[in-house]
Amino acid sequence: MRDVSKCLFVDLNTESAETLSLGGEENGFPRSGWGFLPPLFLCLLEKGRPFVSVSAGKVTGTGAPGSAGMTWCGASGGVFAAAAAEGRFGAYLRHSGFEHLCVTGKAAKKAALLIRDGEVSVVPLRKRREEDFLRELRSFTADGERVIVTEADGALSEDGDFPLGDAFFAGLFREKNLSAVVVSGHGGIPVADPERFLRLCAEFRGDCPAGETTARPARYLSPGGERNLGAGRLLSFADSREELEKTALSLLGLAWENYDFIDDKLRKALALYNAVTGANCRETELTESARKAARQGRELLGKGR
Amino acid sequence: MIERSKCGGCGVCQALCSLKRAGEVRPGESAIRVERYAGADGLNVVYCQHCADPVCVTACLKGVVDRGADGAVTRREEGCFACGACEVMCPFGAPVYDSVRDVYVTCDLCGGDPLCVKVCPTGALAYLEEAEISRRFREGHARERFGGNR
Repeated sequence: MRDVSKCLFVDLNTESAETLSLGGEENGFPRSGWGFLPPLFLCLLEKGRPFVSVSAGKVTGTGAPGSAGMTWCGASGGVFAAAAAEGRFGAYLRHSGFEHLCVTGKAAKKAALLIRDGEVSVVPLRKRREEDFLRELRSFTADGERVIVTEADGALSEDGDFPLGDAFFAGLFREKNLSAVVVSGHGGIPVADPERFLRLCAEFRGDCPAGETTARPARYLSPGGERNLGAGRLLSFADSREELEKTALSLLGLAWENYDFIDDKLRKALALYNAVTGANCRETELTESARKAARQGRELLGKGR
Repeated sequence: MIERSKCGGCGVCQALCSLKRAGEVRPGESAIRVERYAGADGLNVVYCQHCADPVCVTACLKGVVDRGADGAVTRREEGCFACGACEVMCPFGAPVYDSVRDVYVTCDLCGGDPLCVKVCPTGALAYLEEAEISRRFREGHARERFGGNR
């Protein structure tokens, strides 16, 4: 299976950006999400370059139940961490033409990273009050067409309201003088077999309880009625069945680990992945892929110590 | 119809509608769109209301928009030259430009079995007869005004 995804690599020191095409064949194992990136992370770690990255999976933003998953990875001061999160950011990253964003370096002054349909710019921010600051960011793109991730008070949030990452990743943003990332995009997310995919979505939606929402905009493409967007959950990369399942879901871009009402998660996740990519991967292959990613994750955790 | 109090703006209707229409997920060109404004605080769901006296029918310069006997507003792609008159005239801003086919599109109710209704996780979207929509609207209004269950 040939699978390629685009990574936007931004160096804030030089305010330059380049696009890396990542991919390759690997005995038919599904490669998706951050599974492409460990060699890049390892290289950055060995060079002692702090970085923060976010990756969408092949199912992210497709509209499947819970397809709002993305994975944050980052390293600084000898510590590596990875966390699965959910929100609109991953989907918009894909609409703007990328599946991964990796940021290194440090901006000279407080700045925002602006990604619009594949075009990247680093914009210095002038406002000091949070309200003015958000207004300034909103002025960059039209309403309803972008997601803004901001760092404030030691946490990352999406559109000013929803938790997106924990203190570690917020710290990485602060360390880089990166106050926000604004992503706006109009590109399509390809689905190889739309008919099969829509049938699966309707079928899986039947598993999910309907419920009223309490905040808006609430969950993005997520099942279940009672929750809002979830903040990042750290990945331990342990070799247990439960942790491997979490790793596999994070690779595909599905934020399902807290949805106990979805049974047989790996089989269903794989069915969605196959419909999206047109592949014909088996569950053992997905598990093997997750096992390999977990092994690489553990190696990164070890290097980080 | 949509029960706005139930809609959380998750956007699944939008994503899957565009997938069904265009073969890829392109939410900005969906026939039903969750429009966010004022940052995260506000949202509006835009879709064709299938008006009793649709202004898009009279606005269309090519006569490709029509209202059928069943009340559904339909449009033929052949002949549409994407002038945008329907979009400009529609009070709801429902018509949307399809960049792949170079035409304007609106909700066609999926031939009477709308996908958005099937996938909405909160049950905010419902496909009902006009009389039932009217009844629910009146009941809701009465509840809001006088309180109680009826």
